[in-house]
Amino acid sequence: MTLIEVEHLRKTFLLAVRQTGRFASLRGLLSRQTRPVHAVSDVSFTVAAGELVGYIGPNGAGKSTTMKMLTGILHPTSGRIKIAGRVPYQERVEHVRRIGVVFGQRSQLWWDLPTIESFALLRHIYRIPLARWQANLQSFSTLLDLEPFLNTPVRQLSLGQRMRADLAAALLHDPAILFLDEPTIGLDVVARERIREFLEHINRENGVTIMLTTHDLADIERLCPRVVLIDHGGVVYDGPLATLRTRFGRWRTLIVDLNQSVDHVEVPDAELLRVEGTRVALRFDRDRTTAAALIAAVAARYPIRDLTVEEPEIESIIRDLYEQPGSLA
Amino acid sequence: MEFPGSTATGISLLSAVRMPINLRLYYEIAIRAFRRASVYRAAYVAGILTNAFFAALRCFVYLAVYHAGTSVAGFSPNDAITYTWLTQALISIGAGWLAWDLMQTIRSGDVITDLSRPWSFYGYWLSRSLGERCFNLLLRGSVTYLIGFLFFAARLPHLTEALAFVVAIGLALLVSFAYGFIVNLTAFWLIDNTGVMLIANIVLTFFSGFLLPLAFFPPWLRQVALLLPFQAITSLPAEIWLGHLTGAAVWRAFAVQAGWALVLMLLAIRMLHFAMRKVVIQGG
Ligand SMILES: Nc1ncnc2c1ncn2[C@@H]1O[C@H](COP(=O)(O)OP(=O)(O)OP(=O)(O)O)[C@@H](O)[C@H]1O
Ligand SMILES: [Mg+2]
Repeated sequence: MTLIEVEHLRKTFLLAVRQTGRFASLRGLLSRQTRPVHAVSDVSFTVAAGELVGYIGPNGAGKSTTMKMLTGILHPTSGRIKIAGRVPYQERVEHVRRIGVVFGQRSQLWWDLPTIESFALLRHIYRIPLARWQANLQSFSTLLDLEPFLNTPVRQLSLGQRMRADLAAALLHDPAILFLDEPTIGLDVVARERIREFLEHINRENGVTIMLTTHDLADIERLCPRVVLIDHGGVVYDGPLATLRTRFGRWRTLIVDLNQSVDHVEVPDAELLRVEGTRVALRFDRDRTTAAALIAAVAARYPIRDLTVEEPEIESIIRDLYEQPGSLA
Repeated sequence: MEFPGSTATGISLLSAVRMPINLRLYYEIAIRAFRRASVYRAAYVAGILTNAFFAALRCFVYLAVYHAGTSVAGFSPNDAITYTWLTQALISIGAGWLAWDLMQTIRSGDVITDLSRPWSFYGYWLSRSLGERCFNLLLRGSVTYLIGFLFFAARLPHLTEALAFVVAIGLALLVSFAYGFIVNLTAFWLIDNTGVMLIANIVLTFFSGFLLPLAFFPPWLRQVALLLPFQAITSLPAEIWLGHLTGAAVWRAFAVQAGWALVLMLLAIRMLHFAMRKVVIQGG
């Protein structure tokens, strides 16, 4: 069942251009010159119920802007969004009742009051039946280990504790969809892992559909069977992470162990990365040659004892993609 | 009471009627705002001392210029002293000062959270403000006034005057909240709206009668002040406290206050509606 439908979504901000020269500020008052910034220029995708989708892209790609439109806070300049049959920015109240939102850099908790107070208020905001609220709080407390700081004012929480509390806060009303904008930002390895486990749990066990942005690719590798990669406001890839690897990871490394040590190896269509005694690493472009051809070429010159072909790290693929946007076409 | 503010969502007033008003929610918000105001003890103690200090200072000026036994524009020396302590006591509930909290959430982008709730955004801020100001009135306001009562013989009203005053303060809170909301909301358009806030604050301080009773204004300026909403925030409740308004005049004062409360609230909600249509949330 399709839960989220996004078609040709576009958001253009008009930035006021600072006037320069004489009486600049006065002229700025009289005529507001603006310059358009296309934060999101053309984004389309659909998400089925129960999916866990990673929405990734370099800084300024338009991820947060998309998230804000999906949560109904920002009106799109053009394009269509439909979530669970509703247009978020038109039927906002009904929409936000059924979603949970966490913006990693912000907190939805009352800063000066004990954490539990914010949870208690959420019960009234979403009219959560008491028994349901208690059960959820109990379950999240266990999963996220909230117990120790339920009575501590939010301003005294560590970032990791605050993020856990914010996640629980976003889920107390059993939303069908959870939007997360950088939920692991600034957290240490242990805290990240705990949050990943939690997200995996609520996705699997509670069937919550999750869309998350992150710059931590370990989050993606661990959690997201599917990624939507955007750049300059448009979708450049949408599919399984594994396919991203095969499609864009052109560079492979062939590692061969030879019978005797050499100090140089020369084979066509491959670049010598390093030689360590009898072990030789060769880099090749999958589009120009195949592993089989390369192995044959090496074997013809040097007797091979053992070999492996290494796939590129997802991290390096993404880094390449981010660095050369043209490479995606 | 009703908050016709699901307009916060860009939906018309009608939907507020369709949607049952969750009064309990707004009560819970107010309670938390009350509790939060009570957290910072140092802040309210400092607030009381500052208010009392300036009240005393203003009183010494009056005592210096008043000749014994005379009265100015219907104000006896004791009236002037009472007026001064009262207005200083009401600072923390908006008599002479605008709250900046909403504007700060707009500038920081934190407003995003409050906008993505199934509630009336106006109702939320109103409840917050009322909760906080109830605390301020009960603690900061009353202690400040007590100092004036003990050391400057500021007046205590009769029971009926006190009751009328409570009603007037309730209405004043609605007016001052709506005004503050409108001014804060300009941050959606201006981003840096500190200039607007400062000017709005000066206008409030002056035309509400906070600095000087409206009775002391030159007649033409007084006429201007009476046409503006600000007298409903400070001057009218203070005149009731002083016993200057009695009988029908009290009811007229209530009517003026209620009228402005309604007009400003509708204006604020209208403005919120426009803000929502062009809303831009700051920051990633
Ligand atoms: N309120 C705004 N006014 C003007 N331009 C904006 C505004 N918000 C975002 N932008 C611009 O839109 C583009 C996309 O921003 P967005 O915050 O969506 O990126 P992002 O993908 O979330 O980046 P990051 O990974 O850094 O969080 C950027 O160029 C940004 O400068
Ligand atoms: Mg972002």
